[in-house]
Amino acid sequence: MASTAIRPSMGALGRISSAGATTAPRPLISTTQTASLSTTTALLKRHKYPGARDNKDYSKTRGESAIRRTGTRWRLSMSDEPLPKPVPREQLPAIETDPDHGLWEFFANRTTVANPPEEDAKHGRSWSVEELRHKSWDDLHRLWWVCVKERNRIATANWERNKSRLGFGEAEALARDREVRATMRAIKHTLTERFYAWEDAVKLAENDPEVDLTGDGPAFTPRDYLEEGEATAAEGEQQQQVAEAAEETAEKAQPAPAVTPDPATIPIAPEYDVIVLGTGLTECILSGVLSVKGKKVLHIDRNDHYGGCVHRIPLDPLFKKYGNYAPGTEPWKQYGRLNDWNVDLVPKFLMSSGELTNILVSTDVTRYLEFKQVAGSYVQQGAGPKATVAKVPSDAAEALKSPLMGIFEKRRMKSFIEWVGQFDIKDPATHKGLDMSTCTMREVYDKFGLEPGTKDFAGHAMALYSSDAYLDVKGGAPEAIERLRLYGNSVARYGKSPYIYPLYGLGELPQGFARLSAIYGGTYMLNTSVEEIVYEGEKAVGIKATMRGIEPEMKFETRAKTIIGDPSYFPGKVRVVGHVLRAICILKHPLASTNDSDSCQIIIPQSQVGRKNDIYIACVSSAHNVCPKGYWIAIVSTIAETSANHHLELAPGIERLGKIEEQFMGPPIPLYEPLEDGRKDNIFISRSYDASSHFESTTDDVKDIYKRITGEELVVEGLREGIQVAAE
Amino acid sequence: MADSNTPKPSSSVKLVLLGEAAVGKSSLVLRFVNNDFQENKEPTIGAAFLTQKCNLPTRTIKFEIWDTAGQERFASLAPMYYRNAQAALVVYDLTKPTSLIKAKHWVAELQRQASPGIVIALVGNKLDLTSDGAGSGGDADGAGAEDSGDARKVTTEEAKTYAEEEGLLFFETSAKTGYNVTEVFTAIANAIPETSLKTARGPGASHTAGRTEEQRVNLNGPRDPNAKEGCAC
Repeated sequence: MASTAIRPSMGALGRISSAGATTAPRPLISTTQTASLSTTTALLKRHKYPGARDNKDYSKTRGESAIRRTGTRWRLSMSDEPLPKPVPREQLPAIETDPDHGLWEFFANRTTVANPPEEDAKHGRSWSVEELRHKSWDDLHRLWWVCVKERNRIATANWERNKSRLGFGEAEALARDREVRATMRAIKHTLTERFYAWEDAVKLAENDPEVDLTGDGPAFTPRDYLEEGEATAAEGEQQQQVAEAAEETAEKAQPAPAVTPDPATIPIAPEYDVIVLGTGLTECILSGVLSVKGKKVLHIDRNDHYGGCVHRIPLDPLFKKYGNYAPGTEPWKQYGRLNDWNVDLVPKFLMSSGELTNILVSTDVTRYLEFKQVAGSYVQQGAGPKATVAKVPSDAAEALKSPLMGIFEKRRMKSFIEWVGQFDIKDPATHKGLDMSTCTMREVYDKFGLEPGTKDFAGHAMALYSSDAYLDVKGGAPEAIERLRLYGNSVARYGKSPYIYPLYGLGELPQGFARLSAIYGGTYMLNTSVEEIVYEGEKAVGIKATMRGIEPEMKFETRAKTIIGDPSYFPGKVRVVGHVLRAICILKHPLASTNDSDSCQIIIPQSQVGRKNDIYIACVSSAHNVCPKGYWIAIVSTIAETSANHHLELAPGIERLGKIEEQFMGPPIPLYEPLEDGRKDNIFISRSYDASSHFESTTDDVKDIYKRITGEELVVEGLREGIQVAAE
Repeated sequence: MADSNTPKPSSSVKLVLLGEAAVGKSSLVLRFVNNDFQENKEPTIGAAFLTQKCNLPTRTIKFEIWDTAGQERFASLAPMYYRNAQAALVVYDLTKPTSLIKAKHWVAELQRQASPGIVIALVGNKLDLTSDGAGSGGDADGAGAEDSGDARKVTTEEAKTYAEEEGLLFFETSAKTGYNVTEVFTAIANAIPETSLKTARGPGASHTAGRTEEQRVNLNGPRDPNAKEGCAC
C-alpha cells in the first residue's frame, strides 16, 4: 500500500505536474496520514452474515451543526447561475389595443388621465326644462346618454386624481358634475310631464266617439263630412268617362292582325271567375291553384313587383324604406353590386316535409326554383353573457354530443322521441295510458319526466311553438306531437336541419306560383291600383282599377264572383291581432357558435330571456344568392309585448349577432286577420304572415280560403296531374 | 339535324323569349319545335316550358324554351323569368316600329339583370308581310325593301346597326313560312360558349351552369322509404 501511495500512477503524475510544483507534495502527505494503521479490514467492509443489521447511516443532517457553523451539506446559493436579464422596455413588442375600444370613452383624451382643472372649469350651463320640452324623444334619449358618459368621464378623472394624490381639481370636477346632473334631472322632469299629458289624452280619448281604443279595427274613424261625399261622386263620373274612352281605344286596337292567337293579345275581359288583389305568397298560391282548376283569374298588385310583403328587395330601397341614411349620401354604395342583394322582409324558412313543399312539388313549381338546405337549427339556453347556443340535434350522434341535456335526460328524451315516432292517434295502445282527448302536453312531458330545459327546446325549437300557451291546452297533445313528427320527418328528409330555402330569396316563391297561374291562362297586372270594389247588395261583384306606369293610364272595370285579397286592400274589413318586431341586420361574419354555417336559425325560447314569446333569428348568406360573398343577412323577430322600447325586446337576439354593419328596424308591423269569413260578401281576405319561422300557418290559410271559396277541401296530391309538359 | 341518335355530348340551355305582345314569340317557337320533329307532341297551353334538341356537329344542345305566358302584356314579367337564362330571343315586329323600341328596352333589361354571359338574339318577325319575305329567300339584307310599298316599317339597316352595336345576333324571320327560324336557334346554339355548358339533366333540374351542387336539394326526388319517423335523436 505504501508503495502505491508514494508512486502515483502515470496519469496522476501528469495531473500533478500540470497543477504546478508548489501543490504537488500535498496529496502525498495527506495520503500518508489517512492510511490505516490496522491491517484488519474495516468494520463496514466486512462480510455480513445474513440478517445482519444494516448499519448504513440514514441521517441526512449528520455532521451539520449550528454550533460549529458547518452549514448545510448541500449548496444553498445559486450565485453561480447566470440570472436572466430583463428585456429593455423599448425592445418589447407593442401591445395591440383597439383604437376604438369602448373603454377609451371613459377618458376625456388619450394622453392624460384627467383633464387639468382649467379645462374642467370650461363648461356651459345645464339644459333647462323649458328648452327640453321642445325636444323629441330621440333627442332626449341621446342627450341622456351623453350625460351618462360625461359623468363616467368625471368619475374616472376623480379616481385617477385620488390615486395619484394630485390634491387639486376636485372642486372644478364637482362643479362640472353638478351641471350634468342638473341636465339629467331636467330630462326626467320633461318626460314625467309628457307622461301626465299622455294619461290625460287617454282619458279624453275614452270619451271621444271617433276614437276606438279597444285595438280592434282602426283606432281613429273620422266622421263623414258632406264635402267628401260630393267629391267621390264627381270622381266617379270622371272615371266612368275615362273608362269609356279606354274601352273605345281598346276596341280600335283589337283588330291588329296576329298570325296565331297569342295569350298576350287577350284584352281585359268583362268578367273573370276570380280577381286576386296583391301578389303575396298566399294570394299567388291560390291564384295558381285556381287557374290549374280551370278558373279564369285576374291578378292585380298595386306595386310594380311581385310578392307584397314577402318580396325580396335590393339594398338601396331597403335603406330608403328604413331611412338609414343621411340625405345626400349613398351608404349602399359600399355594399357591392346592388343587384346581388335580395333581402327578404319576412324571415321564414320552408319545412322540407311541410305542406308548402308538398304544394310546390305537386304543382311542379319546383322546376322554376332551386332550393338549398339551411345548414342548422340552433337553440339558446340561458340569457345574457352566460347564454349558450347549441344545435338542435338532428341525428343520434349529435344528440349524444349535444350539450342541451344531461346524460340521464338524454335517455328520457330518447324514449320520448321514440314514443312520438310510434304514436298513432287512432291506436289507444300507443297513448301510454293518457286520454288524448283531454290530455295536455304538459302531462305528456311529465309522463316522461322531462326537465324544464328539455321541454323548452322540444316545444320551441322542435314543435316550433312561439309561446308556452300550448302546454296547458286541453286535448292539445296530439297537435304538439304532430308538430314534433313534422320536425322529425323534415330533418330525416335531407339531414342536418329541417329547413330549406330558395336560392335568390323567398320572393321567388310567389313569382313561381304566378308563372303557374299565367301558364294556365291567368292574367297579371302589376302597378295597378284598385279604386273601388263594386257591390250589388251585400255581395261584391267587381272592381274599378287603374293601371299606372303607362301612357295614358289605363282605367278599367271588370266583374268577378269572387275577390281574394291581402289585408292591405281591405282596411275596413280586418282587425289587428298583434304586432311583430323585426330587425334586418347585415353582418360580415357568420353567427357565433353556429359552426360558421352559411345559414341557420336560432330560437331563443321565451322562458330563457323572461318573455312570453320566442325570439327567432334567421340567417342566410351568399350561399343562397341573397347577398355578395362575405356578407350574412340576419333577421331578428318576435311578437311585440310592450308598447314602447321595442329595441329592448329584440336585444337578446341582436346580442347574438356580434358586430352589425347595418341594422334596419322599422316600427312594429301590425298583424291582421279578416273580420268575416267572406261567405257573406264574396271577399276572401288572407291573414298577415305571423312571426313563426316557417310557412305552415300560411298554407293552412291557403287551404282555409280555398275551402271557403269552393266549398271543398284542397287536395294537394295530384294537382300536377292536370299539367301537361311537352315531352322530349 | 337529321340524326338525333348519335351519341354526342348533350347540354341543356335555358332560353327565354322576350318582346312586345303580339310580335309572334310563341309562333316562332311553335314553328321551331314542331316543324319537322315528329317525336315531339303538340304543345298545349299549360306547358311549363317547351324543349327542343338542336344537333350541332360536335354536341347536342337541348333548349328549354320559356314562353312569357302572357305575363309581359301588362309589364308583369317576374325577374325569376330571365334569371340564369343562357340565351334570350328578343323578338320585334318588322311592321311595327314601336316593337323595336320595346325590344331595345328588353335588351337593356337583360344586360342589367341577366347573367353576364347571356347570348342575345334580336329577331325581326313577320317577314312574310314584307315584299322581300316569303319567296326571295337568302337576300334578307336587301336595303331597297322599304320603298317597295310593303308593310315593312323597320329597315334591316336600322335593326342590324343596333344589333352590331350591342353585340347581338341578328335575324329576320317569318314564323308563318318558317323562313330563317331554325337558323336562329342553330346560331344561338353555336354562340353559346362551351364552358358555360354542362351535361343535360331531366326537366326540373337546375338550369344553371358552372355552379356548385353541394347542399342543393331536389324536392322532386323520391323520399327515402326507410326514412325514420320522428326525430333522429
